[in-house]
Amino acid sequence: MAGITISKKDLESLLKKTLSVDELGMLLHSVKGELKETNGDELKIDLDDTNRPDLLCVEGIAREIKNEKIRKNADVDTEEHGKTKYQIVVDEQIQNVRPYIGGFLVKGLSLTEGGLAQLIQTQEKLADNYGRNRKNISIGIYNAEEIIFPVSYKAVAPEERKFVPLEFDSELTLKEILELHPKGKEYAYILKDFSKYPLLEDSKGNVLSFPPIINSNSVGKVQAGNVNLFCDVTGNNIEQVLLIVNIIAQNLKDRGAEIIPVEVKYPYDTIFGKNVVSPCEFKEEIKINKTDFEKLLGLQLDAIKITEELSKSGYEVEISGEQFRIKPPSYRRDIMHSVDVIEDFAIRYGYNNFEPEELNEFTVGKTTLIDPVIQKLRKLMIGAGFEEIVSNILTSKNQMLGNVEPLESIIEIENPVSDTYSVLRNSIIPSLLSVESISSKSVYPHKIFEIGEVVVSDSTVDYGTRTIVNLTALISYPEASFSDLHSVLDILLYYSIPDSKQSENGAYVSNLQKIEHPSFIKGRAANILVNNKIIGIVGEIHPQVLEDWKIRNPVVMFELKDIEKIFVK
Amino acid sequence: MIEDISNELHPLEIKLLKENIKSVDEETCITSENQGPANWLQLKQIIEVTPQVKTTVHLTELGKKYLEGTPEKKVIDCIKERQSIKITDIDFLDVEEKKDAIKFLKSYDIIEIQAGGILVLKESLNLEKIEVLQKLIKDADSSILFDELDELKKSLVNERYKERGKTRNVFDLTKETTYLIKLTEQGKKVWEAVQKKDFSTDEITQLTPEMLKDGSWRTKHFREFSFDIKPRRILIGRPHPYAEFINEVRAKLVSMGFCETRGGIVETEFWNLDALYMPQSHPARDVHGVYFLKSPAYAKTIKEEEKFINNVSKVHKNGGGTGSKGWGYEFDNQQTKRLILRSQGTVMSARALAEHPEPSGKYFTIARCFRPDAVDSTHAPDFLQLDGIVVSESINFRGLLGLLKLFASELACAKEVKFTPSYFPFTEPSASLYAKHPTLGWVELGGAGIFRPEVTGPLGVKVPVIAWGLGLDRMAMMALKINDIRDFFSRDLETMRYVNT
Repeated sequence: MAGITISKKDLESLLKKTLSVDELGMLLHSVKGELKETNGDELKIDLDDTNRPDLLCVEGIAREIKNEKIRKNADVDTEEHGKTKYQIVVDEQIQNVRPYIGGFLVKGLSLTEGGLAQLIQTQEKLADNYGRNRKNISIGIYNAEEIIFPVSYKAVAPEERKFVPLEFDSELTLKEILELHPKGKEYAYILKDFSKYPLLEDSKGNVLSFPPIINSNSVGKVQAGNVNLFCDVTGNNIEQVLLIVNIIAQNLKDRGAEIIPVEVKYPYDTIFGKNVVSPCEFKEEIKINKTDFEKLLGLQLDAIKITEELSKSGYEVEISGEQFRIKPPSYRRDIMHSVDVIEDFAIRYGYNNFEPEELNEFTVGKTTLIDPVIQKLRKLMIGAGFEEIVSNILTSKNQMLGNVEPLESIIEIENPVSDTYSVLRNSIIPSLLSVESISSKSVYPHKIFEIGEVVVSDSTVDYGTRTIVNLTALISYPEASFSDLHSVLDILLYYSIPDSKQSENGAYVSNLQKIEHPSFIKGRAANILVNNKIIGIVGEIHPQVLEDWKIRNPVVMFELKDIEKIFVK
Repeated sequence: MIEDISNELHPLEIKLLKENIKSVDEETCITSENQGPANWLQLKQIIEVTPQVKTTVHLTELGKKYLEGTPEKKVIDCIKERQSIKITDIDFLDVEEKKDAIKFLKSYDIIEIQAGGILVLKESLNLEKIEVLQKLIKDADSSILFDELDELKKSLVNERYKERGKTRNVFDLTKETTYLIKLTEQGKKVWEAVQKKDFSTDEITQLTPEMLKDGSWRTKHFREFSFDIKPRRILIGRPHPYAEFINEVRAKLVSMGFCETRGGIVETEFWNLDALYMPQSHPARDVHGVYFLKSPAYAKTIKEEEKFINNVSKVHKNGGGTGSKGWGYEFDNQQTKRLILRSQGTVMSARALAEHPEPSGKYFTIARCFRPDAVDSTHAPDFLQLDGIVVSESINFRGLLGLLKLFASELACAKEVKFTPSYFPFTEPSASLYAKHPTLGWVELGGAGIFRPEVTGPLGVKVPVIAWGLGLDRMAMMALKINDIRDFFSRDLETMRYVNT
């Protein structure tokens, strides 16, 4: 998810028509976007598809919602390829730092203030969102008038060269830029492991920029009114670099500029060879049968209709018999499988134009095995007069006061957002004590219970942890006593342990074994045993624990551990 | 009407009406013993009750000692006898009494103190106060009403009554509230009805086992009840509204033929992310997207994953024969073992597919999920997601929309739905489901899509699978009319008791 801000007038001039806010909201759905806010001419839009960097700008959105066949004429002119006189020469040493670069020249662009603002936003969104904070992608835009080609892309030592960075008035070394310039400080992390830094300079030795950090204050300063620009993209993955070059080139082309390709000459091999002209065509073709569309979507379709709709999304489509040979537009690399193309068609077709079909698969529905047990125990506890509690599982170590489980067995989060939610509870006892601690003004008696998940350490299993379901109950009021809860525990076990027998007085013969535990008053805690196995703990909470929780009434509790193990046969 | 009222009277009310009120116009005073029935009668507008405070004057222990003569009187008598007396020669009083007596006698203007500490009586001798006080002490021995005293006596009582902390005083006051009762216009009629009524048969309130046994109930008269009285509040055992909501959803899904699956909260990146075709460098997988475990950080062994890990790794690299070009990177077999907290319910769908790859199958899960979001009114620290899949030879996008429409009507009672394009890394095509809410307008209920072949292929599934996830918390908030998600969890009991659904 990414958010961008665009100008409504700008969008309308690209679409060559005006739109109401409602119409716009509808159209934005087709680019998986949502209009979050309108503020005069300003539109704030959230975009869902993280694989579509081409949509992170007004030009991309306009292209997609224009609903016109946009392929041939509007695309970058590839005739010039191979015979361009503009070159970027790559130095061998950059291969281990930031190996790839692409770029192009722009001619005849009338860059307004608004247009410049959009261009800068596009540059930032692509580098920050798609380029992961410039780590994978960074973009430079320069005034082409002052650049003497060929440009060279090289690696230099941190103190080897000096230049005046953007917004500064004195020369700094690259090392100083990382230490002193705000952008240098922000993005220094990208270069921390390198002994040489990237530098882009023209044939006269004028520095264009220090990618991915900052442009120079001379050629690297673009202003409204500039007509001829040079744009470069650097990164670690040549496909990503070329895709971003293509997107920016297409955007400026859509605004009426002429794009002149640039040839990059590498001393090393790339998947596109040693000489790579950009912008470029990826020349990838996908073959899809008409029946693939029909089967996936559940529609009977006309081949002409498919071709027409796909070409509105920028695809180049050729039909041979029942098969489509499809080339995605150069500004898209998100097409991995035919299903991606089929979705684009479905979106053009209109999701709400599909007739929903009823499911006619017969299957038998079932809950998990533990569910009937949970429901039975809930009913018994409610029948015994207990109010049900639902708590969060994520909590803090501080909220583990009075816990019956050892603290060291608590599973901790490596990257918590706050201490308040930094561990997984391994018992429900603290959850219920926490309810008590804020309920002193609630009418007494308090009889509460929770059946819920806890996570416990277990070094014998693959993940070192197990998620189990516990049942925990609490009684608190001025005269709360162990015998109150003992009766509840007893009858609960009578109704839930298979083949349980009643004793002479009608009670279940539950077996309690006295233990010592710091959370309970000495002599008032016991393990609960069934068939000689410990299934839980019961007792009266120690006054020190109550004091720690600021609880003002006596509390008796029991916890049955892993009810699936106890009750599911 | 009057008949009804008189039939519903409690025996104590009848007793009060019969015994304390002798005639319709009489005003009577009753004590606090009868306050209960008097209040009930007042609530029924049968009588008017005016509380009256009665102050009684008694003697303290000291006061009783002074019955035979106050210290002041003794001093006067002594001076009368000897003309004058030196203070130090007064030996018939203790020090405190002597001090008080001289103080009072001076203030009553009875004596004067001459040089050398010699007391003499004043010439214009007025002994009224001393005499009245002596009389008052005598009267108070059998207790007297303060309000009936004249001004002089009242001032003497006030001067010498025992207040908290003062011990050397003569009088003690007790306050008692009595109630003046008087019949209302309606009450007069009720009173008359009560007078005429025959209470010769026993009127009873409670039927007892004995009466049933010996048949004596036949001769009893059952007091009728008034149904205007509010009952006492009681506390009862009660299911949590959120748990109830979840149970209803579960029952609905089972009724539609879905099988429930469950899993652990701690997952590997493999199931939670890799198997769902999210590339290992995906932004949703960094520290802001998922919670990592501190210890253990990695799964020791991955028995369940091993069967699929090769397929998944190939699909990420080059599509692994699914017809996809893949993400084009080298899969990291160590990262896939990294332990995280389940961040999406879809992980259970991947597990269900791995276990049941054959058609036809319908599975769902209600899973607690965890993401490092700041907690606010719409983000709980952990939250439930409802996810599911349909594995079927014949399923397609129209079937997916049909199922979503069914969910909207079954689970959210929505009559109108719409679908919008959406993005999930593991489905294509993907859609979001919106339902029209009567007051909130269009509300997003969840997302869905057809699993990408890159998800189903490596798990050995050969037919289409539709996958869906619904925002359970949002649906519950709508159904239970709650605006803050935190209200579901860990609130004080009283607040929870007032949540009514």
